Amino acid sequence: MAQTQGTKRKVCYYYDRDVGNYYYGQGHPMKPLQIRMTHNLLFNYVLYRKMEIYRPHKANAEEMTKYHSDDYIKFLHSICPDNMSEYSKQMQRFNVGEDCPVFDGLFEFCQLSTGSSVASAVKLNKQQTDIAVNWAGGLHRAKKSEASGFCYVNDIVLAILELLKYHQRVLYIDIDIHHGDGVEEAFYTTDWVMTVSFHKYGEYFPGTGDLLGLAKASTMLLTTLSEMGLMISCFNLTIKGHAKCVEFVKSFNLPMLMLGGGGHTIHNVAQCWTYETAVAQDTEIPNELPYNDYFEYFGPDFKLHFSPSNMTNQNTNEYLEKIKQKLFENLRMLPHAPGVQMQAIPEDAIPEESGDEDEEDPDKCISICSSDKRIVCEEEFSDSDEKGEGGRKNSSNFKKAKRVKTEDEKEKDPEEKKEVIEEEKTKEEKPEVKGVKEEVKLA
Amino acid sequence: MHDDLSVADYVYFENSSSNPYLIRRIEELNKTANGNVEAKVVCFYRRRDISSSLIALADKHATLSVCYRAGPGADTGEEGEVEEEVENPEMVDLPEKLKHQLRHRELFLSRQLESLPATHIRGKCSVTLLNETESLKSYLEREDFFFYSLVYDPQQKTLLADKGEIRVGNRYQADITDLLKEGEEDGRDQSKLETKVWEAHNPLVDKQIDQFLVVARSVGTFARALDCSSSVRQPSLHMSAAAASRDITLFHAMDTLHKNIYDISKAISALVPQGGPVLCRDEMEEWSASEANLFEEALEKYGKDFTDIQQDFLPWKSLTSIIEYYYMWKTTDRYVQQKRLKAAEAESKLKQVYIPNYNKPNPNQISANSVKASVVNGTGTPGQSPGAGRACESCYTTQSYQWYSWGPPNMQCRLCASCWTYWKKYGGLKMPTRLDGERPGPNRNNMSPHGIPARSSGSPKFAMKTRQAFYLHTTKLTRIARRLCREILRPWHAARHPYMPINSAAIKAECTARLPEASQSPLVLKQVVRKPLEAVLRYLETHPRPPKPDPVKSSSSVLSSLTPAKSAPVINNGSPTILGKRSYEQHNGVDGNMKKRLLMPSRGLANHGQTRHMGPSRNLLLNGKSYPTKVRLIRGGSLPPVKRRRMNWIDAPDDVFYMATEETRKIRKLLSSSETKRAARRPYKPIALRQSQALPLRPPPPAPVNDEPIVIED
Repeated sequence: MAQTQGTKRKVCYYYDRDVGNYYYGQGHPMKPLQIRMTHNLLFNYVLYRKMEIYRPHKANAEEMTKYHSDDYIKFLHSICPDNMSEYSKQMQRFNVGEDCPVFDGLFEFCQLSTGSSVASAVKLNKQQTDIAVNWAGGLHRAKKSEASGFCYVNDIVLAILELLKYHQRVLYIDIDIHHGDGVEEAFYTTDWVMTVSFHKYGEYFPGTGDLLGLAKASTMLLTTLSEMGLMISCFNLTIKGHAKCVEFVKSFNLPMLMLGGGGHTIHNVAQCWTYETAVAQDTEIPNELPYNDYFEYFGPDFKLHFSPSNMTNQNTNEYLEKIKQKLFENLRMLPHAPGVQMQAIPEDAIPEESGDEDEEDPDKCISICSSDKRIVCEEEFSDSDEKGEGGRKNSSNFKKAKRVKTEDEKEKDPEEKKEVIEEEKTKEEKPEVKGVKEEVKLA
Repeated sequence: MHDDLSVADYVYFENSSSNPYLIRRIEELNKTANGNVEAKVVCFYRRRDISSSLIALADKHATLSVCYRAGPGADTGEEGEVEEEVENPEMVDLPEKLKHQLRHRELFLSRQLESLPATHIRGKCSVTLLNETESLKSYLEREDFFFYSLVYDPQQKTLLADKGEIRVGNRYQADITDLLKEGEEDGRDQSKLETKVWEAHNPLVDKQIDQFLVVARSVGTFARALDCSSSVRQPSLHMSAAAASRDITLFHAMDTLHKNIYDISKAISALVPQGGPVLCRDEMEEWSASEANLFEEALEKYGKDFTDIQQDFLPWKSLTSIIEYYYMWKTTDRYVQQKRLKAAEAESKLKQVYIPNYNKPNPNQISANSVKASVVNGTGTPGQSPGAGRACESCYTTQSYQWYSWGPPNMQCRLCASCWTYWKKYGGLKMPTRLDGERPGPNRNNMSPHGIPARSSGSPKFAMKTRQAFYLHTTKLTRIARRLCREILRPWHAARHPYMPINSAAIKAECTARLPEASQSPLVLKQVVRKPLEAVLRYLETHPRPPKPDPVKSSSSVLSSLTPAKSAPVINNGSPTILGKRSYEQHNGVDGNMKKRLLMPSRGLANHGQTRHMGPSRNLLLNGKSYPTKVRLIRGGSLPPVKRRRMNWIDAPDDVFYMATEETRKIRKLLSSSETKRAARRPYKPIALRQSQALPLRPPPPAPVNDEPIVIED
C-alpha cells in the first residue's frame, strides 16, 4: 500500500484575508479568527512559500443549492442582524438563532468557506494538486434545510458532490469531537460516499453516531466512536496524535482535501492546523513558534506542541478491542463495492427489531431503526478478507481510469474534520494509533 | 468515602433523611458570600421518580435496543416487560433478583440544573451512557455504578433517546449527479473560482525571499518616518521598525512578489511606486490613542457586543475593523492587565472542593430505646420502641448492628444496615419483595426528590408527615417572666430576632427575685372576655374577609421535608447543543439566595402558579387591601433599564407578604403609634386616614390582562 511518508506532494491552500474578521457573537465558541491565526503562523513558519496559495471567490447561491434547499439559502442570503425580527418564523424553521446566530456577514462567511471547498474539489478533479487545504471549511453539521452547530452551509457536502463527478467513491473522515452528522445525513442513502467519524458520543452534541446506528445502517456509512481519551481537553489528544490521522490518510496517496471546522480554543486550533499543514507538506517545523501578529495568544510557553495531561485514559484496551470488533463486524456487512441504490428487503440478518412500526414508541431512535429497515440492503455480506473491487454500479457504469483520490482533513482539538476521498476501496483493517482503528483499503 | 470533588463528578446528594440520595453531576462549584460552597448540578432521575406509564415506554425502548445490542451469551433485556421476556429467551435466564437490581441502576438524564449546598454531598458515584459492548451484569458488579440511555424532561414529562437522528428523505439527502463520462467536461471555469496569490514553484530560493522581506520592512520603516500620524504613534525608530515588521507588511511584500512574477527588482520598484514608499498598516496601528481609549471604555460598557460599540462609540469605524482591532488589542499589555483583574474575580469559581466525611447519625436510625416521639422544647421524651424484633423489610434478616426505620411511620417497617445503604444509594429494596420492589418508600407519593409535587395516588397513609412535631410549652413562670422582666426579655426585639439566644437562666433568676415584690402590686391584666363561638361565626358571616389568595400552597406545604433542592428554570430542554449539553445562557442559571431557599419547602416549578396568586394586582389586594399603589405591570420585553427590584416569588416566605411602597410608608408616618398598633391587631379593619392626612393617591393600576411578572418600584 503506499509508497508514502516522505513523498512530497503538491499542496494547494485556500485563504481569504477577510475571513478572520467574521464574528459569531459574544461568547460564541466558534471564532473564524482561528483561520487567520493559522495563516499567520503558516506564513511565519515559512510553510506559506511551499504551497500554491489561492484566494477563493465567493460561492453564489446557485452553487449552494446544489445541496441546500432554495428557500433556506435565500433565507441565509437575506437575513442580517437588522432584519431578524421580520424573520422569526423562518429562523425557527431553519434553526438559526441560538447556536447558529445571525451575525454581520454571515452569508459572506458561508460564501468564502464554500467557495474555497468547491474550488478545492475542482482543483482535485482536474488533477492539479494532490492535496487541497481549506481551514475555513469543514462546516460538517449543516443540513439540507437547517443550520446546526455553528454551521450554515455544508461546504463538505458541496465539495463531495463536486468530487463525485470524477470519482466513484469518496471516503470522508471526520475527527472533530462532534459527530459530522450533516455529512452523514446528506449521503446516508448512497453508497458512493463513506463517512467515518471519530467523535465523542453520549451526552454530547449532537448525539448521533453510535455504534448501533452503524450496525444497522449497514449500507454505506461508517461512524465510529472514540469515547474519552482523545482530543485535547476532553480527549487529551495531542496535536501529533491528531495529525497521525492526516499522516495515515495521506499515506494512501489519494487525492485529499483537508478542511477545518470548529474550534473553541483558538490558539490550539491554530497550532494543530499549522502542524497538519506541515505534515501535508512533509515538512518538519520547529517547536518554537515564530513571532507573528498573534504571538501573545500562544503564551506562556510559545510552543507548537503541548504535552498531554496526565488524565487517565478511561478507554481500556479491552473496551477499545470490543468496539473494534463490533466495527469490523459491521464493516463486514457492508457490500464492499458500491452498489445500486437501495431497495426494500425482507427482514434479514439483523434480527430483533421486534415492534411493528405502528406500535413503536415515539422515541427518536426508533425512527432511525425503522428507517434503517427501509434501507438495509441485503446483497452480499462479503467476507471481510475478500477484496472486492467494482465500480459504482449505476446506469452509467463506467470504469474509470484508476486514479485514486483521497482527501483528508483533520481536525484538531475540539474540532476539525477530515475528509478523505478515494476511489476504490476494499477493506482491510488497520489498527491505528491510539487504539482507534480505521479502515481503508486500497485496491 | 469521598474526599476531593471536582466539576464533572457524579455524586450522591442527601435531601431527606428517609429518601434515597439524589444523583447529580457537578457542573460548577461556587463559593457563596458567606463562605459556603454551592454546587450547580445536573439532575439525574431514578425510575422511581418517573411515572409508571413513562417507565413502561422506556422499557419498551430498552427492549428494542438493549436486547438488540446484547449478543448471544450476554445478559439482556433486564428492563423488559413480560411480553418481551417471552420473546427473548436470554432474559428468562437472568435471575429475577438481578433484573430487579438492574432497575435500580438505570437513571434518566435531564437538562435540569439546580443548586445544592455542597455539604449535602454524601459521596461519589459513576454514571455512564448505557454501552452496548458492556454486559448488563457488569453494571451490577460495580458499586455506585449507574447507567442511562434516555433523557427525561420533567416539564414535558417525556423521555427521549439521548441522541440525534439521521433523517431520510428528499428533504435531507443530497442529489448526486452521475459520474462524468470520459472526456466529458464539468463546465467549471476555475478563473471564476479562485485567484492565485502565490506560486510554490517559483524561481526564487528562500534566501532571496527573506532578503526581499527585509527590504519591504525597511521601506515600511522609512514610510513611517515620512508619515506624520505614524511618527506621532511611533516616536522612536525602533517602534517604527517593529510596526513595519507586522504581518500585513510581509503579506503585502509576498503579494508584490507574485504580481511581479517573482522578479525581485520589479517587486522592489513596486514597493516605491511613485518614488514614495508604500505604507501598510493594520487596524492595530491605524487606530489613534483616543480611539483606543474609546474602545476600552466601550468594551467595559457593552462587553463584546461590537455592533453596539460601533454604533455608540466608534461610528466612523467599520464593524470588521473593530473586530480585527479587538483581537489584536488582546495581544497588548492593557488587555493582560484587565485579564488579571478578571482572573481574580473568577477565583470564586472553585475547581475542587474537599468535603469531609459526613458522619452524623441519620435521624431514621433506630436507637435502643427511643424512636420518633414528639419533642417538647427541644428535648426528647422517651417513647415506646415500635417494631422491635421485626425482620428487615428487604432481606428478612433479624440480625443487624444497626436498624433504620423505613416506610411510613405507622407501618413501623425497618431495614438492616446493609439494606438501608442499598436503599439510599439505589432507591429500592435489594430483594424483590412480595409488594414488588418498586413499591413506594416513605413519602413517595407526595414528595418527589426534585421538588415537584408528584402525582398523588391518594393513599392517605403515605401522606403522613415524617417530620417530628414541635411545640412550645409555656410554663407559668415563663408567662410571668414575660410581664415582669419585659425590659430584659424585650419580647418585641426577640420576636424580630428569633435567632438571637435568650439568656433564660438570667431571666429566670431575675424573675424569681422580682416575684415577691411584684405580687404586692398585682398586675392589671385585662380580662379577656371571649365571645361565644356562635357570635364569632355570625360576625364573620357579616364581615367576610377577602378570600385567601393561594390554594396552590396546600399541596406544596405538605412537602415538609428538609428538601433544599430548588429547581432552576430549564432553558433549552429540547435538543442538546453543540456546547455540551447546555447553551451559554444555561450557565447563568438561577443563582439566588441559597440560605433563604433552604428555609422554605421546595416548591419547584409550582411557582408559576403562585405567581399569579401572589401578584397583588391580580386580585388588587396589596397589603391586605385594594390600595392604589405604584405597581406597574411590565410586559415582556419592555423593561426600562432603571433601578427596580423584581419580586422574587421563589424566595417569598409565604403566601402573604407585605410590600411597602412609597405611599404606604408615608401613610405609616402619618399614623400615630396607637393607630399603628390597632391596625396591627386588627388587620382586617380599614385604616381610616383623617382627611388632613390623606395623600393624593394615584389612580389604580390597569387591571392585569395577563400573567406577566409584576415589578414593583421600591
